[in-house]
Amino acid sequence: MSTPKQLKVANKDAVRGLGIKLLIGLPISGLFWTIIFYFFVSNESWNFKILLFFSIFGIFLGGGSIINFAFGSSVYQLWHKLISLIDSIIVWLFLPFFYYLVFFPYSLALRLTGKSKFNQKKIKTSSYWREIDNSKNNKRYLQQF
Amino acid sequence: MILGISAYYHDSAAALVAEGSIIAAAQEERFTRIKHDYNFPVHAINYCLREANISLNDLDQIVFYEKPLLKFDRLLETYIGFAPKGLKSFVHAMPQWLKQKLHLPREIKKNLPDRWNKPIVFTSHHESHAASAFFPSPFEEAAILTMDGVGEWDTATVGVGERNRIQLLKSMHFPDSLGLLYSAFTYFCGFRVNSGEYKLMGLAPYGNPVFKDLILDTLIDLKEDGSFSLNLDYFNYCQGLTMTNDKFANLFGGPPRKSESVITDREINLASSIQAVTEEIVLRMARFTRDLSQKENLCISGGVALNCVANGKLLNEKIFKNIWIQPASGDAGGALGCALFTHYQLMENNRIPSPHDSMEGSFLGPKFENNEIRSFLDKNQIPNHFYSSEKELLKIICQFISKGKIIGWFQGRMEFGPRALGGRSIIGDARNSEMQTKMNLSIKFRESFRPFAPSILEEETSHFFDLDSPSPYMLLVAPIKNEIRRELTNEEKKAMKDSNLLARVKIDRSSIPAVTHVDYSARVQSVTEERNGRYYRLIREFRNSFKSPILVNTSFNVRGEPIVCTPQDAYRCFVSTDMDVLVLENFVLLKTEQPDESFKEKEKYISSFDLD
Repeated sequence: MSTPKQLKVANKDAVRGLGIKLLIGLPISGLFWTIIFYFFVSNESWNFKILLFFSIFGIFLGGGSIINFAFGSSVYQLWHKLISLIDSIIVWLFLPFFYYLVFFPYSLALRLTGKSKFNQKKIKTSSYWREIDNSKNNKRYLQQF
Repeated sequence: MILGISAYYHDSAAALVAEGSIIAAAQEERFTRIKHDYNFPVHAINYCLREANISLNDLDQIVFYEKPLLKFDRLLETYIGFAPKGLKSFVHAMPQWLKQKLHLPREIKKNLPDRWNKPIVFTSHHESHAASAFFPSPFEEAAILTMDGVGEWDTATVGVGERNRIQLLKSMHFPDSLGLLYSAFTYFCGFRVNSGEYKLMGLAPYGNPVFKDLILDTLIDLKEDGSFSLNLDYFNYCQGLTMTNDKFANLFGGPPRKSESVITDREINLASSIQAVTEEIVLRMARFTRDLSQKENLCISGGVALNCVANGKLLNEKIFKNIWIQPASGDAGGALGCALFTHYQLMENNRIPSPHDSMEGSFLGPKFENNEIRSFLDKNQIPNHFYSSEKELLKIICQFISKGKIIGWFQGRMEFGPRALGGRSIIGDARNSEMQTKMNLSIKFRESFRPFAPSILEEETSHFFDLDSPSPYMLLVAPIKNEIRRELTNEEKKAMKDSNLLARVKIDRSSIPAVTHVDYSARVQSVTEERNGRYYRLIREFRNSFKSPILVNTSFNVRGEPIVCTPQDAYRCFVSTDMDVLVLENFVLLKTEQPDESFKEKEKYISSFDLD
């Protein structure tokens, strides 16, 4: 069962916050890539076009978002779509890997040894009620388990 | 003062308890206007603090209604039990757990309106339900029965409550769950899980329980004590994104009904059958609870406790002398339960039960004064009539009702829980034959087969219904008295077999047709002056002037919309539907006087809510 889908709504603070992040973050990213290129790709000269490109992009998106809310909302929505896409890619790459390589063998082992809670043969019983252990102390209420 | 929170599954809510009194409680959906909103209830928390006129620092404890790591344990064990099946469900569920639910103290503190440096208290899901059932009840001691979909591992529990303590004694574990069994049929019949269960219950009386034996023989191993084990070969909820699988479909003659498609006899009979099975299980569980607890009072909570037909049968069987059902029995009520549990059981405060109960009629939400409403009306230049005298106001409203008008009734504090009890209600004359169809199709925009509930003066209940117990929270279904029933003609009996449910609905079965379901039953709300104040006086005035102590009462919303909270919400709903009159405290608004531009957003408004 899934919970109902809810969309992220852009409000002025959130849009402005993203604008500031882009305005500062993109030039810093540009500087980072300029350094990377200098040391790992071309070790003869600095290529400041990378920094310039990122900075212009940052000023355009970030500054635009701060000045104009409508523009900022569109950037905000696009930004979240991009995050969501990256998120989905990571999730679909990592979790199936984990599920098949960790969960499945463990599940198989449990089933083969008859220890899985869900695959045990039903024992003939007159009741499915279970006793509740009430012996624990009140400290358990500060724990999440 | 203790703040209880429920969140991150469905129907998130907050509740504030001070010295054992419930100061405020509200569901987040009412503020965000997103039905069953599961997000952190920041608006509901802010409201609770505002209502008590305190800040977060004034609180003694903040309590969360379940134990997230135990729930995660159940989730992992389930996936391990079914791997390699279940990948899709795993990939859907895990991100939210990894990012949010596994770090609940951090998430809660991050979302609170102020800094909170004390630890967060975590009660278990069914402890919260049990506490919400027992502590506000009028009983010094009682047996407790909780039944829902699933909490951490528990799906049903039996316990006892004595003075300021509850103790859970027995439980049933996931995946064997009455709530999930009912939800599986809800899904299969084409309704939405966690919200369409009411529809299935409303559909049940149209059919015959022809599949009951098949369900009992194939899907479930039911014991005499009400405990059971489900045959997981037919279900998909452990490992999939659906509730049932192909084997289930083969058993019941085809695939699940598509949402919004025609309802056939199969779905009608399935609804009837699963309702009959549910009642059987509830009755057996109740008998077991009585035998185990040796108490004469019963308190019930959990989502299944909202099945008012089963509640009615339980009352009728007289297994217990008295029954009290928590009106916010779903997960929202968990917020209240965990706060009460902390106040009484963990902080060891004395408990003195109120003679009726301590739910304040479930009117625990925001209230809007006349001056606030006046500012709203003036600001938006909305034509209105102000009645300073309540007597005059009630007289004019009763006249409207007697003329078949449909009234939006907004007064006092908003209800906590899924039912509108006269605070945020749409009301009409129960004697009017057209009322049910009109309200369903042009006010609520919902399925024509769904019944409406009567609000009746408590002292008049026994004249109209076979019900010898108060039903203040609309949680009991009772048969209508033989004296007011109408014998169907042969033609009408033939029409009762019509595949079109609207044709069946239109047949008058009693002198109060708008609230008489096809099986001559009604989901009764008994109204008292003490609990319901002006709403009681309205019905009394209607009785005195027009000889009927009953009104139709349905929640003030359209399909898919949360019940209205503010005067703005109420006005938007009023102008977007065929309601004739809106009463906002002492202000009366007539549809005919509203400016044309008010109606421009009608289509947009109605389509803004996802169908539930």
